[in-house]
Amino acid sequence: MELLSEHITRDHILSGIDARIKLAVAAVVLAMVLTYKGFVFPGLIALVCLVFCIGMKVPFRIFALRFSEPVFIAIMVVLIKFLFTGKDVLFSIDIFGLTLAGHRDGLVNGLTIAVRIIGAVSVVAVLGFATPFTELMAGLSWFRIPKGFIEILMFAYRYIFVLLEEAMVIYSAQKNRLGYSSVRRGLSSFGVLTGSLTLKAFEHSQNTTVAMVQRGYDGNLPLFTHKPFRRFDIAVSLLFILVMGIVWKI
Amino acid sequence: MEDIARGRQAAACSQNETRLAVNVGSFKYPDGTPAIHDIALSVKRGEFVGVLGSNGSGKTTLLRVMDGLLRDIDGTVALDGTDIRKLSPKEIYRKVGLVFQNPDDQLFAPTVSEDVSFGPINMGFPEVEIAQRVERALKDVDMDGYSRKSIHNLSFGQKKRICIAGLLAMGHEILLLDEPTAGLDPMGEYKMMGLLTKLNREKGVTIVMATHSVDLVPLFLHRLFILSKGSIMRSGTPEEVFTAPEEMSHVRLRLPQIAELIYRLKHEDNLPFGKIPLTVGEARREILKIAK
Repeated sequence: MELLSEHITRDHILSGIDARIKLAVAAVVLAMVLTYKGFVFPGLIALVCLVFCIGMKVPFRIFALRFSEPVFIAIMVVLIKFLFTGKDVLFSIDIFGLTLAGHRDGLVNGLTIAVRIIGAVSVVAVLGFATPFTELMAGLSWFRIPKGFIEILMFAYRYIFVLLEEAMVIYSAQKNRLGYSSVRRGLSSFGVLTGSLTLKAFEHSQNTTVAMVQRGYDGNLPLFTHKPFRRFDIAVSLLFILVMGIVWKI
Repeated sequence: MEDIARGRQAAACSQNETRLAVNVGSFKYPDGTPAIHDIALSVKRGEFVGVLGSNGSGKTTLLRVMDGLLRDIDGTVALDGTDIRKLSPKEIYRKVGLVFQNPDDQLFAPTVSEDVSFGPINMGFPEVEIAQRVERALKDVDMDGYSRKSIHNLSFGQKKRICIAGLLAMGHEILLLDEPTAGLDPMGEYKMMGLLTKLNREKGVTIVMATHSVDLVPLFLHRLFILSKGSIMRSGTPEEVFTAPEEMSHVRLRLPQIAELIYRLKHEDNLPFGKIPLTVGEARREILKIAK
C-alpha cells in the first residue's frame, strides 16, 4: 500500500518533470534495456535509477518491498540458467545419484537476463516513485491510450485496496473457524472467499455508480488536464536519452 | 456537551419553507419485498432532522426515495414543490446529495482533491473556481491539508468527512446522510455530529440523517421520525418522541440512557422528577433541583 509516490519527496528534479515526458523517456530507456546484449547498459541504468531513488529519499522499506519480487525472480532465473542450461561445465556434484552441474555460459545467460530484469524494473520503479498516479494516467490519456482502459486502471488502483482489506477480513474469519486446517478445506474456503469478493465487488460497483451519478457522472471521468510542455523538461529528457543512447551504442 | 445541547435549542430553524415533502403510499423492491409504506413527512429549510429506526426498518430505502434514486414509488416526493420524478438527475443532484453509510462506496478517485473536485468539474465550473470550491469544502469539514492524500490512507472517519466535502463542493443545500456515525468511536461520533451541526447552523445546510444512535439524537437534532417496519410510528421533537421506554421498545429502540435512568428513578423509586431529561446537562439540573 505504501509503494506509492505520495511517500516520496516532491522537491526532486524528476518529480517536477511533465509526466508525459517521463513516460516517453521511460519507454525509450526500457526498449534500450531490453534490446541490449550484455550487462553494462542495464547495470548502468539500474545504478542511475538507484541514485535517483536515493535523491528522492525513497524510504528503504518501500524500496526493498518494490524490488523484493524482481530480485527473487532474477535470482531464480540465474540459478535455473546456471544449473540446467549451457555446455561449458564449471563443476558437477552428485546428490543422492542426481548430478547437478553448473555451466559458465548458462551463468552468463542468466546474469544477462537478471540484469535486464533489474534494469527494467528500476526504470518503472523510478517512474512510479517520481510521478503521482493520476499524473501518470493523465499522461497515458495524452498518448491516446483508450479512455475506458485508463478509467478501469483508476478504479482498480482505488478499489484494489478496498477489496484487499475485505479479502483479509473474510480470510481471517475463515481461518478463525478452521477454514484452512486441511488442503481440502482450504481450497473450499478459498473458493468461498473469491465468490464473496466477487459479490462484494458487484455491490460496491453499484453503489459507486450511484454516488458518481449524483455528482454529475455521465460516462466520462473529467479528471485529466494537460498543461503545455516546458522547454526545460524536453531539453533535459533529450540530453538524458542522448547520453544513454551513446552508452547503449558503445 | 452542555453547549452542544443548548446549541440544538438555539439552532431550531426559523423558516417554514418546505424543501422536501414525501408522501409515499408504498414502495416495494423489484422482488416484491415491501420496504416502506404510508410515509408522510416534510423537511423545512435549515432543519436538522433524524430518521430513527432499528436495523431493517427502512431508513436507507427512505433516504434513497428522498434522493430520487428509487423512483418506482406509489406516491410523490417533492423537491421545492416539484415532483422529483419530473426533474432530471442533474436538477436533483445540484440540490440534494446522499452520503452513503460505507464511504468506500462513495470515494472512487485516487486522491482527496480529485474526489472532491469531481462534482464541480462535472458542473462545468472554471478551474480556478473548482480549486476554490475544493479548498472551501475541505475547510468546512476540517480536512484542509489533506488534499494530496490518497483516499486509502485515510481513517474511516476522515473518509466520511471527505464524502461530505464532495457534496458540499457542489453547493448542495440538502444532505441526506445514511448512518453518519456508524463505525466511529465515541469521540468520532461527537466530532461528526459537531461537524453536521456546524454545517447546519453556519452554512444553512438542511440535513436529514438516518440513525439508530438514540443517545446522540437529543443533543443535536431538531425533529425526529421514528421508523418501524417501513412506516413512521411517531414524529416530533426529541422531547415529544422520547417519553416512555415501553413505547420505544415496541419499535425495537430505547430511550437515551440518561433518560431511562431518570424515568426509572421517577416511576420505580418515586423521586419527584418533572419532565424526563434527555441530556446529561438537563439531568444534572433536575437532580440538583431535587437534592436541594
